[in-house]
Amino acid sequence: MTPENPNPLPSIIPEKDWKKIQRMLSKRSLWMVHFCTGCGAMEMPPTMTSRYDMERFGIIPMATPRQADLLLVTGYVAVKTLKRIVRVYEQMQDPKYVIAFGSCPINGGIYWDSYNTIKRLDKYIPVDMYIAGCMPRPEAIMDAFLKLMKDIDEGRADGWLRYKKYYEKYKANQRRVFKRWDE
Amino acid sequence: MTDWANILINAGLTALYLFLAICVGLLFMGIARKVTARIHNRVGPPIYQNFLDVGKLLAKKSNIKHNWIFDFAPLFALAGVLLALAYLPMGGYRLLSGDGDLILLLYILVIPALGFALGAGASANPNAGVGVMRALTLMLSYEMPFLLVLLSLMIYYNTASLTTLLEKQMHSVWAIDVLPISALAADIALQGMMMEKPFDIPIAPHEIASGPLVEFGGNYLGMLMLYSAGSIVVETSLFVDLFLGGGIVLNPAVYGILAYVVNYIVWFALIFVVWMIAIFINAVFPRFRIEQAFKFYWKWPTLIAALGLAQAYIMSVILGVSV
Amino acid sequence: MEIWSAFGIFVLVPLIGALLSYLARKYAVYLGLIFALVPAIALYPFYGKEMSTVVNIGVKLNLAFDVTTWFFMLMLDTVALASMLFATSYVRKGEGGFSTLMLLGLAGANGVLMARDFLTLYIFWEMMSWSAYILVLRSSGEYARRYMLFAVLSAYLLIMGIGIYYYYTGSFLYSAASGIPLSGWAWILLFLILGFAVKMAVFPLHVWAPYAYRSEQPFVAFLSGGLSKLGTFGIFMAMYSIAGVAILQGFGTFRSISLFGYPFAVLGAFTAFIGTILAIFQDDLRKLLAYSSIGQLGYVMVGLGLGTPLAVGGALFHAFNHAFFKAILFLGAGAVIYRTGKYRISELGGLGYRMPFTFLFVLFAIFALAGIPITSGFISKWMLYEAAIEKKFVLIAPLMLIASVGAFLYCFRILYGVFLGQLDKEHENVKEAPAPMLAAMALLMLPLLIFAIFPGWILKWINEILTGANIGTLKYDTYAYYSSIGGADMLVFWITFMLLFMISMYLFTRKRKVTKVVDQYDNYLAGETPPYVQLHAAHNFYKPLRDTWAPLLRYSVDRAYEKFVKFFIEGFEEIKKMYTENPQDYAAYLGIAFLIFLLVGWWLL
Repeated sequence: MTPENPNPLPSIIPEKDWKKIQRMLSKRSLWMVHFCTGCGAMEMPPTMTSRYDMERFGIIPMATPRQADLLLVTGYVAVKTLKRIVRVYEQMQDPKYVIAFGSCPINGGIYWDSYNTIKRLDKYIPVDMYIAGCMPRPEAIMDAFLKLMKDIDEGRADGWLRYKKYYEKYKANQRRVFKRWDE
Repeated sequence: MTDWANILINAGLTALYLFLAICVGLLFMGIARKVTARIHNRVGPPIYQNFLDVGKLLAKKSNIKHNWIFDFAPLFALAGVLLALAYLPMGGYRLLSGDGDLILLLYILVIPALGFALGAGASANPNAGVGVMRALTLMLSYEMPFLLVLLSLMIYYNTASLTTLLEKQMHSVWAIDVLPISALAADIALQGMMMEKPFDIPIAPHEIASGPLVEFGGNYLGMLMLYSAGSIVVETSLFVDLFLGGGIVLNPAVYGILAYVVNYIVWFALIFVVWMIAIFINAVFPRFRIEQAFKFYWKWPTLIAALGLAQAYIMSVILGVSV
Repeated sequence: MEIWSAFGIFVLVPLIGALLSYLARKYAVYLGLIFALVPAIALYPFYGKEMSTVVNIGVKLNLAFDVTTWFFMLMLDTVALASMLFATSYVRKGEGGFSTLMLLGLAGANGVLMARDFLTLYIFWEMMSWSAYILVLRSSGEYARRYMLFAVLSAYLLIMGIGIYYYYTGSFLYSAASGIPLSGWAWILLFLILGFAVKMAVFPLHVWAPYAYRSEQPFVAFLSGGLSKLGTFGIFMAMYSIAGVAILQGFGTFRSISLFGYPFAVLGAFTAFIGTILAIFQDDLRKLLAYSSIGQLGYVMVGLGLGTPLAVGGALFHAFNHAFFKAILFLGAGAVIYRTGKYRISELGGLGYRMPFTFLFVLFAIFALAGIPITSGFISKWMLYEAAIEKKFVLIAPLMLIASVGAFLYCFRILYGVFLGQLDKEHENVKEAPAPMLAAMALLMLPLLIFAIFPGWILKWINEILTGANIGTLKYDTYAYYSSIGGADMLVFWITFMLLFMISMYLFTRKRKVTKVVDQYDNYLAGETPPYVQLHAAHNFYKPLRDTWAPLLRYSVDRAYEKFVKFFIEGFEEIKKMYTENPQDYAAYLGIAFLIFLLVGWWLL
């Protein structure tokens, strides 16, 4: 992909396969940090534990964003929370992906007229996958994970590249809702 | 005249064994996840999952560091654990263990931990400091029984060299048959050394955000994961070398290359058993607090280890048993 | 004639330096440096020279120079040189006292090392002791009294030992020791060893150290690194040179260890353990190092007590290592105090980013202290462990080993609390320590590194000392060292370590270009973006451990001494009540006294 990960054995592994290997690696080992806003957090335990068991796909929860590849935003996002989400997102290492849960991050959901929630998460950080529903069932979450893995494999999950490319615009949007950064 | 060919062959074999050891460690981590998942009535990831994880981490496209001291962690941790592996007989192959004894190994084991602690401390994250504090306190806790166990072995076999220890066990019986009390204490100490539950206090992810690891990501975390893979093999293999004869069932002097293969397989099976005991305990236990762990270790395992030491002392000094 | 040059260089030159630096105060620190440099450099040609003479300066000073003297001078003079070098930027300019007293102490110490009769020893010992006392007094104030009390105690114990020696032999010469009965030897050695053990701060005579080590850091480096080794030297001389192995063995043996030495070995192991445990809980950097010093010298005591070649060799080697790494640590602490003015570990933090070289030197010294094999600190500890294990001592060996694990705890407390973690806003503009300070620490670091690669070089000297004292020989070659139960090869170790470090480097440097350096406040704190807060987790660092130890920490030798003193003070207070300032009372006392004298005299006559 980028020159940051040069092919160690170009004579043996073709460049195309090397890219494939890299994508396979990042899709098969998604470590997530789940930012438990709103009610979506309640859907995570069944997804993690024996009923649905997302560890099958190599997805495990991580304690800190430094170690994680996948950010889950599980519900409505208040302005105050958004600051934390942005900070957590920026602390993650590339490549990184975002999944937003439920209707609230899509269009505000039942908080559509609230004075202190944001309506579209996509304006502030790039979202790779939305799960509609209020709340999405664990099946839907699993489906989203699988879709995200497919997207990564096909190189379509490029939110982190978008964030780099349109960094100023994202920042401008963020600045519009934050009065101060240190609250 | 130095026998350069011999040295080169040995160096090559050592490198091979080190590489295999890291692979075994990663495999074991995967198996542990699978086994834990089965205990939880889950499917669990494939057993090669940790190879993918390490691959992904090493291929991450951006990394952060806080300052130059932060780099100490991956550098010293990986080099140190490889060094410890090189001084440990694996599957009957002595590697460098003829050139350094148990005490040297004991201190080499500290190099990766200290490097890791330095790197973790170099981030200004208080979780890292607390995590390292817990790790060091835990170390003081489990070392008490473990040192008594080592002492009982060294007194009973009258040697501090791992190579001699293995030879003596090969020619008589495994140490676990003569010193079962010490072996029990050593296994309890091992649980703390491997930081499996109930002693995963230093990296408690739910309390202190994985403690010393909190600021490590990407390449740094990948190298630290290789370190923890290596340290699993170091710790289980140390137990096997000390008490289970290093898995030597065939004398290499008699059977040659066949003995190395068979011994390696037996060694693998034995460290697997030791690792599984730790994982079964890990899967069903909650976590101690650090002061509880300290009190526990300085009470029961120390008492058991002291009994084992007394046994070794009586057998070796008073009864005059010499192996 | 050569001994005159030795006496001149090692004793008279520092004395002249002391006088000159007192007179020329303006250049005192530089004069001190020059006059400390002379013996440190001139030492090298004296290696392997054996000579002795009598110097008559009113009293007859029996002096000699041999490899033991040379070995101890090597540590003392080098540490003194480094301390003086450090002091050139530490001590206020134009102050004569420091250099004068340091050089007096150095002259006294060298004299002690060269003395071959007890009178000479005592003269130089007092010279060293009193100059050290005044140096402690300069900054520690009233706590200096504790140091003086113990220095005086040490002197009294020595005098008692010397007195008994004189009673039996009628001579003060070391070489006159013959025909002393075993009971006589027991008392002589007991008093001499206890007297010297005060200097080594062996439990329970250690209580002066944590207070004395709070004075000016370059001096403390010399006190802990250098002068405490005089205790080691004294005990070594008393036990193995004056008495000798044969007499020690005459006390009866326990697995071929002298029964006389064994209790001291156990005492040393306890000292190592207690010093370490107490060091873990200190917040004052200097006090932490003081307790650490007590613990480390406990190891030396173990080796001296056991008395096998490996043990005594280990003790001498450990004393050597301790001289250097503890001096670096105190100098490093001095550099930190010089730059920040703070000495509480919890108030510092993050200085490693601003003072990288100081950090590296301290780190290296800590490697030596903790016994990491990349320094020579490991080898001496290894020798002491193996000495205890090969003789199957199940009390000494675990105490030493667990003390060394405890050492990791306080070592990390220094590293994390002072040099890592969060850099306080207050210290954001702290500069690296001045060049002389760094040079002093670098100088002290060299031997630790060299002897880690070539342990054979120093073991050769130690072996000469051991054979000189008829203790036995060590098994070693240039890179490797062996005991009867094991051994280690440093060449193999270093080559393997370097190769494996390169693998580690390879994996690491692949990603160096994409590694971004982030600010120290860019931390994961559950997504929180706090305004500036102090998040340095160094306050009461080992709290859980401290809580578990709390019931035992209530007992303190320090407080026991204080209670003892208080008891006497209260007694004297009662007596003081006699002084009522009423003349009639005094007259009555006189009358009563006269009556008593009369009665007693009458009864006697």
